[in-house]
Amino acid sequence: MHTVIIYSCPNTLIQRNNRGVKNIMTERGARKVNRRDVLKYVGAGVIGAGIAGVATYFGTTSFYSQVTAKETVTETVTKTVTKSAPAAVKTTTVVVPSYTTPKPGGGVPSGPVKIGWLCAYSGPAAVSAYSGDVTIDMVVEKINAGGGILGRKVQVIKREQGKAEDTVREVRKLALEDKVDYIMGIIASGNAEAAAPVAEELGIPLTISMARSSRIFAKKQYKFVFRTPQCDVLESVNGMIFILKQLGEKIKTWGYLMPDYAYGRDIWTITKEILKKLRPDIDIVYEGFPPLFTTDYTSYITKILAVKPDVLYTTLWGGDWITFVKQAKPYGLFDKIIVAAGAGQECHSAVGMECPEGIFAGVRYWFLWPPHELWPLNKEYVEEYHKRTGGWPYYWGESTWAAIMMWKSAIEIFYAENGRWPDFEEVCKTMEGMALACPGGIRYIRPEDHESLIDDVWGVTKYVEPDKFKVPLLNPIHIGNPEWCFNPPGIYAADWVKSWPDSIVKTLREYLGLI
Amino acid sequence: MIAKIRYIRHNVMKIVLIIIAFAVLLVLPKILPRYQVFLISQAMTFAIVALALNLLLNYGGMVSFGHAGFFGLGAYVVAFLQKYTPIREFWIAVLLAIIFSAMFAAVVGAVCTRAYGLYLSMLTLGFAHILYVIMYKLWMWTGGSDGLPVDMPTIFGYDFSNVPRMDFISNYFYYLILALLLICVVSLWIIVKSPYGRILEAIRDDEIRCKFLGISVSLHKWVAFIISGAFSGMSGALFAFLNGRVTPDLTLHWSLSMEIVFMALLGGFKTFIGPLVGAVCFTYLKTYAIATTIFWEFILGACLVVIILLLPRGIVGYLADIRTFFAAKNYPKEGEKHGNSRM
Amino acid sequence: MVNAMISMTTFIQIISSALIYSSLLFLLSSGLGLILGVMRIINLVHASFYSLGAYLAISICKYFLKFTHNVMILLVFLVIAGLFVSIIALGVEVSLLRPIYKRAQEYQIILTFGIVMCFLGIIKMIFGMQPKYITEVYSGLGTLEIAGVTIPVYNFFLIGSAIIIAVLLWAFLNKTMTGRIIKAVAERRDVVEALGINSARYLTVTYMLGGALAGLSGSLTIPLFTAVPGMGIELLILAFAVVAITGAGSLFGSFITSLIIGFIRSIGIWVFPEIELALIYLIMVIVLIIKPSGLFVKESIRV
Repeated sequence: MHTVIIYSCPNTLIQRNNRGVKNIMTERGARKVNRRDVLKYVGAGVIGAGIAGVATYFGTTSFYSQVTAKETVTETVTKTVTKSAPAAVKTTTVVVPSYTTPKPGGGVPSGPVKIGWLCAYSGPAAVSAYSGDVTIDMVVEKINAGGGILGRKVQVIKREQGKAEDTVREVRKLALEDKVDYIMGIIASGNAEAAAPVAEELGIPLTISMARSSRIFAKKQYKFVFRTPQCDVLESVNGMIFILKQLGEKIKTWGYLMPDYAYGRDIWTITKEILKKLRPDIDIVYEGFPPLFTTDYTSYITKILAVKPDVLYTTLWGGDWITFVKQAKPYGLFDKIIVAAGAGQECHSAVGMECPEGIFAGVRYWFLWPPHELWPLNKEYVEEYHKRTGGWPYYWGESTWAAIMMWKSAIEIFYAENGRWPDFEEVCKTMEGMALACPGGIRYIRPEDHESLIDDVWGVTKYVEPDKFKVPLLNPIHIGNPEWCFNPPGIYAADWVKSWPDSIVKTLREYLGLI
Repeated sequence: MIAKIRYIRHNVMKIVLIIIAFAVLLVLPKILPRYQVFLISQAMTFAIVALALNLLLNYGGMVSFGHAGFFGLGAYVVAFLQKYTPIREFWIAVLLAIIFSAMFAAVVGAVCTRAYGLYLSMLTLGFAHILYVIMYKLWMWTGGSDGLPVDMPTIFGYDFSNVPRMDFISNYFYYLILALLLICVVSLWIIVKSPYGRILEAIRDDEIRCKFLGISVSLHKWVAFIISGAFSGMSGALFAFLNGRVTPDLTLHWSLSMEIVFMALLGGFKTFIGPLVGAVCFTYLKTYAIATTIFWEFILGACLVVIILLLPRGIVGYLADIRTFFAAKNYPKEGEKHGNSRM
Repeated sequence: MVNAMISMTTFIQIISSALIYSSLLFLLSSGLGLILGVMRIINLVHASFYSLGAYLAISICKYFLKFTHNVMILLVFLVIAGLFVSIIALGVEVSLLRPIYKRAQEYQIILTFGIVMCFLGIIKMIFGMQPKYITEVYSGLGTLEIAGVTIPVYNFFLIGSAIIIAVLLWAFLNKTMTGRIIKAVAERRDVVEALGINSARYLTVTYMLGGALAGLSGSLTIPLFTAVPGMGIELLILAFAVVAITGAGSLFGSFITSLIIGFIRSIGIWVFPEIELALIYLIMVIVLIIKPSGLFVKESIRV
């Protein structure tokens, strides 16, 4: 009977608890971040860190066997979900979206509702964005089969995102010429950064469902722009703790190979600050910045092999990661150096069976977490995806699912409360502060800066049942609670790391086993 | 006086056409949807730079594949001004864009006056590309491949920064661009018809003879570069405000230089007004190619190829050909009229 | 920042990566320079020939991988794919370029620009937009240990092929009749015509040769790289810089310049990774100012 609890028609389950939301987060608008706020968050973070530590300890594959038959599914789900869900979620009602829609009674405009989808169809980025593209087709098909949104069919207009200027142009065209109601997608951080102000000035809701640079929302507040994937701060902080914990004293030297643009540079800054705080004894012996989408990595590879850092942190993604793995394997780089891939999902989605074992991969969403027996949303999504493509979904797909379901649920919630179709501003207001059940867990949209808080997954690649999965799996696996590994709104992540007080640092170092 | 009247009577058709076109353009923002107004504004911006290029191309005989450099420099000046200074005044931004582009053009021109033919083209291409690489590499200051944002300016102290961009364009900026385009057209017309323009054409036709006549060839060519660069810079600044985002691939890439030359060729670079027509047509061609299919490069490329092969003198030239065809009985035999063509 | 001593291993590694890049540059720029010197057009379509060579190589190899896993045969197919591009070049030249030889230069260059766009669209249509790659050829040859450094054997194949092609090209241009006529056409086309030789035909041969070189540069280097639509366009401007520095038509100069640029890049990445290629364009402009005809071309300015 667990389906009754997990699944529900949105109408009956939706009662947004504004009190809960308002208690924890202050209102948008003027909000100075002072020391006390930061400490408050970091304090909550320490507790969260403790919880996360426990989660990590149990987060290896042995966790799966920890679930004994005696527990009911409900209990396990509650344990799983609330263990890793942000604190805000515990006092907000979780919205569980579904593919069906309630029958409208009136007040709904006729005609289809249009979504603009911006994706990379060509170039090195296309290899990654594929997951999102399949997901949107899949989800829209199912929504339309279930009656559309309040009876209106959903149409998707697909456009190539190209470079930053192309995205800007397409957003304008989608909003003004095609008159879409919602824009989603965008995989490159630079494009997202360029598109956000344009969507804001046009007053059309935009959800960035694939790009992850935290820069977009760090200093500017948007009414109309949202983000569903876990941003790069989550990846960096969570990943660093995982790597430092796993490898411990073995690490003496560190190297970086980051693509030379905003995303690469941001993560470089954040992780460097973390290293300075937690392991100042580690020497950074190499920092390489190949241009984005360059084709020849051999020069960088030879230099890295000569310098031989213990760990090489890299966020090469898409076609870059494929080229790099291809060029580095004959040199035996993966045998000699431990590689930490911040854009780890590429190991599975792009490279697949050619991927070496033993890579620390940050994948954001892992298709086996939450475990399918405990979280049927994930099971259903992954199985449907696998049936369609023979492959497995990665974070682009999951975030895209969340982006479209979040919007659909917001419309239905608003209609249930007000009896009419919301305009753009109202939809955005409804989406703020929503806690949405997604395949990857519970996703909370922070009202201040519209960032998403959801589990962030790291793991080490290992081939388990290669014939069944056709990609390497992650073993051990590490789940990061978003609440403690994400900075509060309104501050750059690097500054936030710099501001960690000594007490926090001490606790973390103890956790890492360094004291 | 009589010459003036005769001039007007001779060109009555042209003048009436211009007045009608102007009247239509004035009214358009009220009747067209905002996106179309945006497109027209963009077309007008590129018309300015195409006309500026034509000064060098047709009247100077120098093929420049580096005009994206002047255009992009103007755009980046505006972006830098917004990023590093609190100055938001439109006219200051445009003035600075013109000055910097002119300075850059002075440098390029000084070098290029001694080069000829293919080497001139390669040099201009090289200079523009260096600018591209600089803006790309120094991402700390220039925003790299993602570029820099540009907000709405204040015009004559009237603050537009809170107005949504589309409304700003439809209601105010369109007219500003139209006015500036008109000023450009008139200034370039005056320059071309002035003694300076005549000397430039003479240099284009036969340089050695000019030198013998005591004309300082290098100086005239250099001045042509500066003028062309200045107008291109202004065009770039307008584009920056129009688009809201300045990136190296959009404003400095060598393919943009190729597109600008193509605009001039498409419209008919032998005429004065050709590049303007070419710019408008190309903007629409490219926009609707992109909107039609993901294989838009093929459509655009095929159009380029077909137009180059079939319309040797551009659209305006083609229209002129049609006119002469119908008036053929008034003209001398074939082969005598167009003997001086470079094609 | 880094204190890596120049040991034997690093030395070999720098040389290895430099030579790879130089081979790529040489193959690409020699064709471009040849066409520029003989036909006096900046052939932007070179970028498309490069891409086509790469994509054809991948398609052919993927097809034949079903029948054989012998890497040697695949290498032969790589070369064939590259040479096949010359046939496409023939088609382009005859149909599109020939009608406008008499026109002004800017027309020719813009026409080649249009053709590049067309081919970009065609490549997207035929081969799709996802990146493509073949790893089997690169890893199939295994690796070699030299002084403690692991170098894939394919690198040697690539460098060796470049050298062989250079030698063949030199022999063709200097020892065969066709080659010598081509050189003559480059210098004084009118005299060649006066001698009764149909120079247009030799222009076509030159264009095919240039196309073959571009195709080979694409097909021989694709095992290392990933093929994306538009891959040639970025590389083209670099090849163009090489040609501008060398001067058009000098094969030897092309060889040397490619070597130098490859080493500059390799050492540059070692010492100061940021600069990469920005330096090259500066050198190009300086050379064009001081000696516009190029460093390795002997005569003075000629239009």
